[in-house]
Amino acid sequence: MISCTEFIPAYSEGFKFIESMGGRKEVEKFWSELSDLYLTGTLAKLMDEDGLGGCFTYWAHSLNEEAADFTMILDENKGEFTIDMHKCPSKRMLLQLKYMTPYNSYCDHCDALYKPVVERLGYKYESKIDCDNASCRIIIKRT
Amino acid sequence: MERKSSDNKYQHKDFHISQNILMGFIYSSFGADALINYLEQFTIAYHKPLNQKMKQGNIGALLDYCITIYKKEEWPVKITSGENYVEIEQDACPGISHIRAKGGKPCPNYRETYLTIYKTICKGTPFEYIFKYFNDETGACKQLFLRKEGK
Repeated sequence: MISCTEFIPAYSEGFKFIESMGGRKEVEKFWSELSDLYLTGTLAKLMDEDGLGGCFTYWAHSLNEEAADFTMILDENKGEFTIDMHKCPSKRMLLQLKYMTPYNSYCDHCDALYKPVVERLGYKYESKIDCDNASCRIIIKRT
Repeated sequence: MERKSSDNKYQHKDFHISQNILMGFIYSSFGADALINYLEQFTIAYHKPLNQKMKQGNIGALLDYCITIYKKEEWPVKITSGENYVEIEQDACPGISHIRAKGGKPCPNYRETYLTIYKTICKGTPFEYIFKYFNDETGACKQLFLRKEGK
């Protein structure tokens, strides 16, 4: 059994395994497939129904379940949704598992997953990632 | 919205869906053996501390791991144990149940998340893993970790 609480190390090893089989290109192919299969019925659907409010609903659910340390702001007047991830629960877990080596570009998967979904719906996606400190900022703007 | 990590418990069930998509991708892109190789790689890396304790004949470490992981998952299970064994019986798998509840289908050979992982955890230890039965529809299963004779 892989418990949902053990998924992050399994995910990271998955990226490493896929890269060893087909290179970085294959990892990106997987991220694209995951984005389509998982986010179409969740984030994309919520954004389709409620615009930036859908972002808030989606991440309020997932980041609370992931016990993340974050600040999330929805500014409808400004047309902006921001996540300040003070400590990403996934990357933090990988950094804490000292006996394991995380996938070298682990943090890249977030942009690869979310950016295409958001931009397909006509929004602008920006991110600034500090991988070594497990923190990042994501801004989604109405265009 | 502002949250500290200590405000919530860590349990994101949808990770079962992402894990299933990951395994499905490996299976369809590289084949059934690759899926096993991936799960072996994950187990060797992630379960190294548990494997090392079991190499010393420590069945308590295995029992603690099993109890803890089902507790974190909040999943009903029957675990019985003795000096030389740990037996685990469940009516359904938490991963398969969540995937199905969300309208998905477990990837082919999903059972390897049990068989391959636990066989690999036992590698080089005095224990063997016996997969007594597994229902691919629900993940109901009975598993036995048994100390090999004379070990």
